[in-house]
Amino acid sequence: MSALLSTVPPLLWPVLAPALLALLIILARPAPNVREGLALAVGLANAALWLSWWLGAPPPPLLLHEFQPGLSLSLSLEPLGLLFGTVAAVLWPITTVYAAGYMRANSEERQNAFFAAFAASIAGAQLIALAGDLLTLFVGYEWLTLATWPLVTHKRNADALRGGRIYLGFLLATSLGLLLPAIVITVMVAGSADFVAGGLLRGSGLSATALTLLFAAYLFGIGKAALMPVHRWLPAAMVAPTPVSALLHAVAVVKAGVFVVLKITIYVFGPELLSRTNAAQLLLWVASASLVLASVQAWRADHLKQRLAYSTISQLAYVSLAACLLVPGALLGGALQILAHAFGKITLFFCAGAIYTAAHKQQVSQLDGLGWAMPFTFGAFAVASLSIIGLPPGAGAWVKWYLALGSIDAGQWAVLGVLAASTMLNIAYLLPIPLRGFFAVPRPASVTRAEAPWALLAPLLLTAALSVVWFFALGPVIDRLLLIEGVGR
Amino acid sequence: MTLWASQLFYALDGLLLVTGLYLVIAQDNLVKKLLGLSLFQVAIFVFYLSLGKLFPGGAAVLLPEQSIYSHPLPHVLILTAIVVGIATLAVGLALVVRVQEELGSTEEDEARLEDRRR
Amino acid sequence: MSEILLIAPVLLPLLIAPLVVMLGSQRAGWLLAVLAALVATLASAALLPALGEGPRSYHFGNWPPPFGIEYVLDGLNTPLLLLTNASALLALIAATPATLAGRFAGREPVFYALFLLCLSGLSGILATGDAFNVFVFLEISSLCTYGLVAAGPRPGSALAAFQYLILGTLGGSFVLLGVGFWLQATGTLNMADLAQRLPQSEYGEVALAGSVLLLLGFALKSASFPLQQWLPAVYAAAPWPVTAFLAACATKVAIYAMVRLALDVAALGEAARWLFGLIALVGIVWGALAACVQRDLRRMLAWSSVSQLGYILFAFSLGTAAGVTAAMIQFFSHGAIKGGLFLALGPARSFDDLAGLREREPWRCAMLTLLTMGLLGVPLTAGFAAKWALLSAAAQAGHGIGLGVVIFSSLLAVVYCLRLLEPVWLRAPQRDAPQLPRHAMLLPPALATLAMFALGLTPWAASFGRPAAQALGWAP
Repeated sequence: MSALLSTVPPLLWPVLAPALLALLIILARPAPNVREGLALAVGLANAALWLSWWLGAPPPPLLLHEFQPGLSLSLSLEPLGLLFGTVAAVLWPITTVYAAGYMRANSEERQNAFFAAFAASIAGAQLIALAGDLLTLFVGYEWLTLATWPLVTHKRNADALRGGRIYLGFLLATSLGLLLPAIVITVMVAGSADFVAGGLLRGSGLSATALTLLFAAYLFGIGKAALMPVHRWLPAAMVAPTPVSALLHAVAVVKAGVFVVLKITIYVFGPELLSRTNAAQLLLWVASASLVLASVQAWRADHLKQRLAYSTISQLAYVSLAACLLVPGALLGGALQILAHAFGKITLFFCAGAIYTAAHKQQVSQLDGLGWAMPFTFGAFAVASLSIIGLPPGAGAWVKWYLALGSIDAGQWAVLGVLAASTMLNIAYLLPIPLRGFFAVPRPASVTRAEAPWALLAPLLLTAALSVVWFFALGPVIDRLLLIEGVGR
Repeated sequence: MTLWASQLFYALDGLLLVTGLYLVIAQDNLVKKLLGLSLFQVAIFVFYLSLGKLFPGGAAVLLPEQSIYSHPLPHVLILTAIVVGIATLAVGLALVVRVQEELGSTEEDEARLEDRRR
Repeated sequence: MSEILLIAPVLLPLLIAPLVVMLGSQRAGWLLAVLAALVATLASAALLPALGEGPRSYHFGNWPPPFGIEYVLDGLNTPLLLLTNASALLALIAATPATLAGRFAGREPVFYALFLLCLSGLSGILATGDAFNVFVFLEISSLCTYGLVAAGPRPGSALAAFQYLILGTLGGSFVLLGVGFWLQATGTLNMADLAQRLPQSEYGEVALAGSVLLLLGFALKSASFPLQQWLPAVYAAAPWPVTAFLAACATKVAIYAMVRLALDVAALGEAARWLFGLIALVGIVWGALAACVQRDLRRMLAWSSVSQLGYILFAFSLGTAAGVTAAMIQFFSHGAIKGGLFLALGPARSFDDLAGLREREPWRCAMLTLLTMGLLGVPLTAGFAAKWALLSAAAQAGHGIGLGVVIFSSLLAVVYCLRLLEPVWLRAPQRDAPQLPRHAMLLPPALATLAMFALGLTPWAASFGRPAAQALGWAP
């Protein structure tokens, strides 16, 4: 058995293990405790594997299958992928605990299918993180889209069907209509689909106009990055059970989107080529507009999950913005956003799910005074909000810091204004929630504690704590990211 | 019997062809449609036969003293096509019987309505 | 031995067909038909390894080519021969006497005989090097198709078959007329001979008129825009194994004939390619749009076929070796996917029939889902390989409009594929679909699904691109 296990190349495990788990759940239909225990075990082992890659030397690249010279399925590990993969891998077991509690507390149906599709989605996200070339990336990208569809439509009511249609329609249409043609053209121009340090297209001799169009095709084609106007799928996806919204639509799926944006910028175009031809200037303003508009939308939304969804769109635009600024500091900030926003936003979603489970409230306006009944939940919400806004001691503070430095570096003073405006809006739509919880009505004389079950509470406290820990412990991550050509100076 | 005669022949044949096609398109009755189709095919057969015919010439085998023959190949080809035509007509008529049995009419419009109604 | 191999795919089904009727037994007839299709498939597969050595020909009765009938197997038609026979094999496996469910009251052997004759006719169109022979085989296959379609379970099946007979016979007659014009212009029927004489013929207009008539005839048979109207009706009316067979290869054979006659034999070149491109691109969009709004499941897939067949014609219209490669991949990809889909759907006709399939028949649901992914062009499937090749070929040829149209149609494919997936996965079962014997339900679509992935992961289909382009004279 162990001999068999050791024949599998280490890079394959993060994809293979969740995929096998999904298959096992579908075929063997284990009892709920066995199923969730197994998922937790696989998740922990997977997270340990990823963390071990931070300490030791990265495993060698792996060629899975060659279609024709220049076109293959291959895996390789580089710092950016390591970051994204680790974030997804670490948050998966935490979410498994949360999901187990949530699904049972709300007595959801079809839990087997739920956990199977969940594991399959994780496999897709990990494949994206490990992709060694554009084709493999695209495989993982489509896999993730399709594997999350059953999760979005899990409730099977009219709302879920409609949400599923918008979800799949937007993501497939953008990927097949823009991303795939962009990849085909890239491969045709460059003669290869491999990611190259410094940029695959660096020596291609494409004109500035062609580069602008191609870059735009990528940016809008990667619908998962939710750049306006291809963001509609994300609010629609909120019909899913909360653990799905938390891990997939705050971490795995959307982070896959912005991860791909960064990866394309750094390894396909190369910041040097883009800034020399000024190809990203127009898209810089699209990202800025997306950033502010989504914040306004979030501010106006009363449904808690909708508000968080629009907040996610706005936060994702930070990464697209970073990709368009093209200076090392901004790219570093964008990469750090993958980490910081993941921990912050998953906490917020965990809290939303806990509030729904314990108090059956979904609207922001219904939360008045609930904080005293659920102090831990609302406390965690406040901490995570700080991180998202970019205030110490939240990890998000570093993101804002590097982005601001980057925009000054790039001489884009207007972007600095955009960052400031959006920070104000962040405060306006996030902080009122915990404030209402505690201070909207005077503290009642006798408070009965009504927190959600521990399986929901423990994960959200852990992720909230971690998003503070990252504020102090970001050094090694930055050191690793600086190894990337174009991010390090 | 020279060039103009064979030209006239082609023209008449074309008329036959178009008549058949018109029947196929314009008639609503399935049997009449089939008859039009047959006419259309016959026109093509005649066209083939006239291709090979040379007016002073005769059959190659029968008249050894003659130096100009009609081309035998189109005649042979069209033998095959006639068989195909008969087979088509037979299959078509059989289908008309089935349509009558199942949809109760041999008028295309009525049969189609009946089909849609079910 | 190898001589026999050249004609075996055509002759074997032709000779076995009467035997099937004479045997008289349902089960024995089915077994014999499957066996015949299997041997024909193996024979056509055995022809593939020597593909690189150039065209091979078989002279009937040892008459030298311009006089006798000649079969020519080259890089373009040999792979299609395999596709045709393999699809027939899968469809025949599915068409057990139990599947046909007493439609024939003891005359099932006739069904199998018709099926084999139809197969023989299609193979004949592919293999023959004689223009008149093309007409004969076309009519053989068409006549059998009418019978097979009329065997469908709906009361309107006979009417659909009749309407198809009218259109099909018109198409066939145009082909006959066109061959006559060519004969008049050149005095020959042999394709290789025609290819030499047509360009030099002193009756250029007659030759051109013949080409146009031939194109018209085969455009009708291949359901090319705007002559596609019969296709959805026929697919909806026929028994499902027949639909699967027709969807997998019948229209593709007609496209082959169009390409062979117009681009190779008549060498119409630029003008014909422009025309092909036009009708292909309009058909791609029209078919995909129509598929989005259909209420009937099979009609939706039929319209999707109109769109997907347009890809093939468009790929040929590029006139490059890369285009031919894309066409060859799409031939096989669409054959496996659409044939597989109809096999997996089985007797299901409406979207309601699919409701709750995930709970009722998980394996069938899995295959349907995977095949739909293929139709969408999701990576690792044959559909993706085909789309990739087509997009590259169009981009290489600088055909921006074609690139846009293909992309647009793949967006529309998202819509109609989603319409298929939704009832399968999300809707609760409403009523029970008819039950079928398990092996017949599962084995053929499973094989088609496997084939789809094999085609997606290996360059097997792409390897026919070069020999096929050589056959058309577009590659050295």
